[in-house]
Amino acid sequence: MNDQRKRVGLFVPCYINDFYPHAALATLEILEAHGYEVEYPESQRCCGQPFLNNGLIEEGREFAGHFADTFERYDYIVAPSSSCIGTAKYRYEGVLDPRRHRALAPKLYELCEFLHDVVGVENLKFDHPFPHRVGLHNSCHALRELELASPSELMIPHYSKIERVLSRVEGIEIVRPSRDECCGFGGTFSVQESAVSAMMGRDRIADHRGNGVEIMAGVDLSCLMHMEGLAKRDGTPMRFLHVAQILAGRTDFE
Amino acid sequence: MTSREKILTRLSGSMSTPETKPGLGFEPSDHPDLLESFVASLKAAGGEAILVEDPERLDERIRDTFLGTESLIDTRRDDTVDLETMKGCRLAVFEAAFGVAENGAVWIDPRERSPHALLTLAENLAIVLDRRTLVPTMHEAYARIDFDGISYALFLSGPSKTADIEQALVIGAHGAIGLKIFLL
Amino acid sequence: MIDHARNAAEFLNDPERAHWHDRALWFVREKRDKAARSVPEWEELRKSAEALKAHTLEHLGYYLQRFEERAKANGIEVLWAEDAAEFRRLVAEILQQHDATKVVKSKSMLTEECELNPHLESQRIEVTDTDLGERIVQLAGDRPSHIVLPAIHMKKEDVARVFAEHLHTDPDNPDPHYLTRAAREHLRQKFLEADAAITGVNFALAEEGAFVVCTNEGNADLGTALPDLHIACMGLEKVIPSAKELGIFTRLLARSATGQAITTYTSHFRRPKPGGRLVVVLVDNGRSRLLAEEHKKLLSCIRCGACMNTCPVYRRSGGHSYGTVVPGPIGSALAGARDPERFASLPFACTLCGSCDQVCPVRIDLHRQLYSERREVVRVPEYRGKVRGLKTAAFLLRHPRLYAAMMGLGRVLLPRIPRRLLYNRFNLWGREREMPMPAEKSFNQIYRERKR
Repeated sequence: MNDQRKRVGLFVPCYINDFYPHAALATLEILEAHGYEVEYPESQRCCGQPFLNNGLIEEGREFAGHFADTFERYDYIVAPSSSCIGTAKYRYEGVLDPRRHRALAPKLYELCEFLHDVVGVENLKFDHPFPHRVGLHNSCHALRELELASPSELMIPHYSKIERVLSRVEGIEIVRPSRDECCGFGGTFSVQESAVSAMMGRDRIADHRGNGVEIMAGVDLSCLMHMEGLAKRDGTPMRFLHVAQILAGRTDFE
Repeated sequence: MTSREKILTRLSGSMSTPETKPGLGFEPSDHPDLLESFVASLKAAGGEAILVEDPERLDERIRDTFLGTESLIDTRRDDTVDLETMKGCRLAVFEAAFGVAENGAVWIDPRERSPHALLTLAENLAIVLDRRTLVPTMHEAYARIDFDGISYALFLSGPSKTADIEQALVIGAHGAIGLKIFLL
Repeated sequence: MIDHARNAAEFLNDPERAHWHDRALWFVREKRDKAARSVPEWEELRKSAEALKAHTLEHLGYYLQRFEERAKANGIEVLWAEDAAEFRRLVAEILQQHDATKVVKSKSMLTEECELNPHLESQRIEVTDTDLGERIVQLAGDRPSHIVLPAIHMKKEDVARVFAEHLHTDPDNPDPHYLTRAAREHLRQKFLEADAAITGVNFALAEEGAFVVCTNEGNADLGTALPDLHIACMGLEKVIPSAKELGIFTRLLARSATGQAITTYTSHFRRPKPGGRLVVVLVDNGRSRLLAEEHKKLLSCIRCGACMNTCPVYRRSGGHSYGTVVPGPIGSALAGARDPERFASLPFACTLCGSCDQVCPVRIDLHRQLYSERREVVRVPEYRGKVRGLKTAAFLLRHPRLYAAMMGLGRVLLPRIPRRLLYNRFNLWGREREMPMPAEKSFNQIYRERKR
């Protein structure tokens, strides 16, 4: 832990800011508890993902530029979201000035990735036990873009940075679903392809329910928000938590 | 301009003669016990391996295995066969040049000796293979083949099969329903 | 425009069937995983295949000419067709030269793409699809919904009904074994009567002037065994440098497609049979144009279908929902590249989950291709509303104060709006799900208060 003097910029996705602020607060608290000086630049805006994913390059370019303006002065940029980090890391290519992008990309971390790769698993200390069975939702950006865990498609040795970080929480029992499949959120996909999206989400929930799980956790609240909406509509007893909430003991919020 | 010329014009950016081509970036997997692998792979492909320890008794083993030899065509001996005979063929015997451990396939090059129709028309196939010819993977397999002189030849891995109805595996689609390999 | 979302919603009207479809294809995906795991060098093998396909496309003109030259030396005729119409005409002409009126055809996506069957039938040539799945959909007057499993959208009861009508089998016996045997007898007659055989090509070997056809049923082998005329149809991208590379591709193809170690029949054709005629038709039909674009990599596809089996959207929307001959991720990417207006919805029939890229045996960056095609397809008039919505969102997001004010209003109003009004027909999110409610305080507020 020799680089705590380095400055961490906290990026909070727009929907987390308004709908799930406790996940952002949990992220901030975890980073501070591990000795980092964290700054939340209030001038930040959306990373541009909704625009880039829908082919609106001009808007994407504008938000990417703003993201770089806001965050390039930090040593690390950490967010409780693999999809926003994935966007800045991989989808700014050809959108942001290549030199700026090359400088920015290696500084970008999803929270668990930062805890695993930069802080180091052995240095992690979480004070709040969580004696529950937790079904881990593998979001696609975490799995197949940021490579935080081994996806079932690849014939490589199994690993999961998220599981390794979560395992440091006392009492937790992590349950893997039978498929590491997409939940069907997919941004505008969730409304444009509403029927398919809903079936995908319901299938994920049923998979976890089949394991006797009543708490689902993940590193992307967008996926969880979609599944939470489905579970609520169906009256399925399932709670959805961002991994940061478990790590920081902020699990009492609705 | 002919269509050929038009297409080639559109492909003009890709006309250069390649100086090198990418090779294998790895060592193919080893199959320490080729025979064991081959037998298991063949079984997975729906076929059966029969180990023949005494070459003198090969024909006897084939006869015993298939219970009788009525309407048998043995391509090791019978030179020409007419279509009518092939249509009613219950058992055809072929020789394979070599086998592949990783997938139970055997290389059969019927040349002009036997019409390739027999390979699919015969209800059952008995294939004779020298176990010393087994190779580990398809890389070694293709390294062995000399294409000069070949008209039609194939890798055959087990009996013909389909799973086109509800993914239910059915052995015997259009070709052989039974396939046994007699390993000398 | 093909409306994938609407077609998918229709498919999902029968949830039981949709679940069955999903499970059946996921089962194939799992078989693929098991087969891939049995090869320790699997990921290296994929990389080699990717490199070789890239190399071949880089020198496609060279390899095609080389193939032509060597194939001709072996006595194979080589013809070139610019587009579907020319291809259809060429094939019909050859068949007419032989007075062929009965043709057996093994699976060839190219002939589907070029709509060969209806053309030949209009010339009074009977074409029998001999792959069991293709024969089922042909008899049913339907179209394949998957490139490897053409009848995967049909239940065995459906097949029993179709066969009862055409092959006079027992309509109440849906046993796949019974039905397959009936098809075997029926097609055996077709094979014996055929005047000519048409096959596809899985790989054409430039150095050897030969080509390879892969099947499990043996229909390409039996089909070509009896008639004197064999017409093999291939897209330009099917050529590879030499037989040596077949080691790589034959190890990948069946494992990726069905989880078998190799297809049952991997058949090599190098010369016409004595007294026979063997014609290879090379078809462009838009391929050379793709070669010049950023979508070039799509031409590496070896048509294994693995991307379909793994695609969570394909499994839950069925092949027909794409309105293309090749459905699923590769089909969407090809269609989006070729006709962005007609197929504008296909690059959006994807959550960008990336699973397809990782099962692809030649490592095509499928989800990335679909992602970049969105730039083009979002311009169609049908997406004007969507674009307007996104532009409004962008406007709000670039004006943080206004955005915060809106959210503040939402905080007050949303919990008070009557449910009926909130979940109105324009609330697309709320169609299937409950809406999240804004928290009492945003993180912005919490952070400011905390700093004080």
